[in-house]
Amino acid sequence: MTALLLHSHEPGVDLEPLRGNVITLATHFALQHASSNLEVVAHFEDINVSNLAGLLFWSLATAAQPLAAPTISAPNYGIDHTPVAINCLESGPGQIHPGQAYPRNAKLMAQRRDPNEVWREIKSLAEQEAVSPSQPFIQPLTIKIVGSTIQLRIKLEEGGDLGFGEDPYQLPIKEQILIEALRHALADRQFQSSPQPDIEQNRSLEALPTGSTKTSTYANANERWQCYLDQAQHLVRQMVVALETVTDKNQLKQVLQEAKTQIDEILYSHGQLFDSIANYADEHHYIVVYERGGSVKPFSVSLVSIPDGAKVWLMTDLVYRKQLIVRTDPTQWPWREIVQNPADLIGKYRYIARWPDGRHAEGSIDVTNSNPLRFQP
Amino acid sequence: MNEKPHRTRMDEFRSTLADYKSIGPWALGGTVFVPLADYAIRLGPPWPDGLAIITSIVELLVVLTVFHFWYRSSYKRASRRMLLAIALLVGCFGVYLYLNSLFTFTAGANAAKYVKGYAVRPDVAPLITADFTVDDALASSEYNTEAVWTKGSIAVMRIILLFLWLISFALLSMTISSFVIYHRRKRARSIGNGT
Repeated sequence: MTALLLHSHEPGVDLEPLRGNVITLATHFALQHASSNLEVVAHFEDINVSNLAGLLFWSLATAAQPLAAPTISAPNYGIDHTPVAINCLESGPGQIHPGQAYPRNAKLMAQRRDPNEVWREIKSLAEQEAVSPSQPFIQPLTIKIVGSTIQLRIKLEEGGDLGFGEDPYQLPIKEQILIEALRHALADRQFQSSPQPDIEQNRSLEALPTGSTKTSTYANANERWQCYLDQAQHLVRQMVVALETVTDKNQLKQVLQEAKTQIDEILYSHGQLFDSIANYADEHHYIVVYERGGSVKPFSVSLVSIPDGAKVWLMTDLVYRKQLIVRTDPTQWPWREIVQNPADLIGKYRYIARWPDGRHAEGSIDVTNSNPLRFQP
Repeated sequence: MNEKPHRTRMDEFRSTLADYKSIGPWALGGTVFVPLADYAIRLGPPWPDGLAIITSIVELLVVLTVFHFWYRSSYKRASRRMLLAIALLVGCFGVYLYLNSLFTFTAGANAAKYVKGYAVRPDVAPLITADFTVDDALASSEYNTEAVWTKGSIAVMRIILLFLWLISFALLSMTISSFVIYHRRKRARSIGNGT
């Protein structure tokens, strides 16, 4: 496998203003090569542009857009931790007021890029990827004509790895691509028209179970879906603002984690977006097919060490027990270092946490939801 | 002069199908060709994808078969067949529900359903005790079924659940189509006799 390393920090050269361009280019590149053997690894901190590939990307980024002046003025953004209301049945669209969502919070301000600018780039990139005809990153909804029926295939899975490694921008980019892919699929002309005219005609009204005649129109349903998507997008935007404004690592992790959990709730919880789409499809005689049988979708969990700076290694509890039974050399045990935070985890694990001053902690954890995991010596 | 158009056997089948469709929703709570029970009550087996289509095809084949072979069945035969189908349906669906509760689990951020196996892998079997059950082993392996059960047993269990599900719907289909065909024929005979 070929690895293309993308570095963004040359000693003495501040590449921070290029961050958005680099992300955009790297993501494009990663998506274009998602199915090939080329792995794209992007690092944005503490690395210099010392190798040819890094220089190449740095050059591309520079050529794509002239070096923007670093943003020195403090942006008028803070982070709102208030959970987003996710009842689109009652609230309807137009509930999102991004301006109100980010109250001024001087403590959280930092001299970074304008979050609005970064957000626009991410949004634009996600829109492009959602309509890209080749190698789509994710297809949450697919409409297919099978004989005289129309199938709506619902895929309750996340897209693949963008190859960003530890870079926290991976999370908002992936979520926004999913949102845009959903918008694109819901705007499908086939979805707007009434399917299966033969079944509509043949279906005897007298034979319908109580309540089945009450079908929602596409316009009503779409309004509700767009409301859900707007709310999810609002949370992605909060992530971007947090990434550009929050300097405290733990606080950043917490904000990203909370936003991710809320997005999952908006999309997957009972009675929310996917349920609403399936209900609409059912009412309009689509054949709803859930693409299941894949691997279990893990929770996105933040790892917090107290004090900060610990390295964490995990092993599934089952593997750990096997090691004990076969009495292998503990130095050879297959511990997995957690390098991405939040990490995708589910079930029971054994852990070891080590701090730079030599302290350490070990024990077991059971991941049953997205609550952050805290490690203390 | 009003001459009635000649009805072919195919026309009769179409009419039977239409009657079948009009009765099915009472039983299934949705359209006939797509057993929405899978969607509405999430009872369907987790494997394979496209279960609704497969079930729909099986139902259609059953209606075709019943129409083709048992169109002229007497009242006694049709009644016996319906009773047998209902008894088998209750049995099969009961077994399906039992196995479904024993051999499937829900996990993950999207709370999806998956099939377990029945034969624990040899390297996992020594670990299983009263304090560390097979379900604990599953939770301890990131809910990776293949890390706990043999691939073969998972595949067999998938097939068993699918088979019981399809048989149940085939029997339901047989009951409804036998009923529809007999009563359509009876009505046609009454009209023919002018009674």
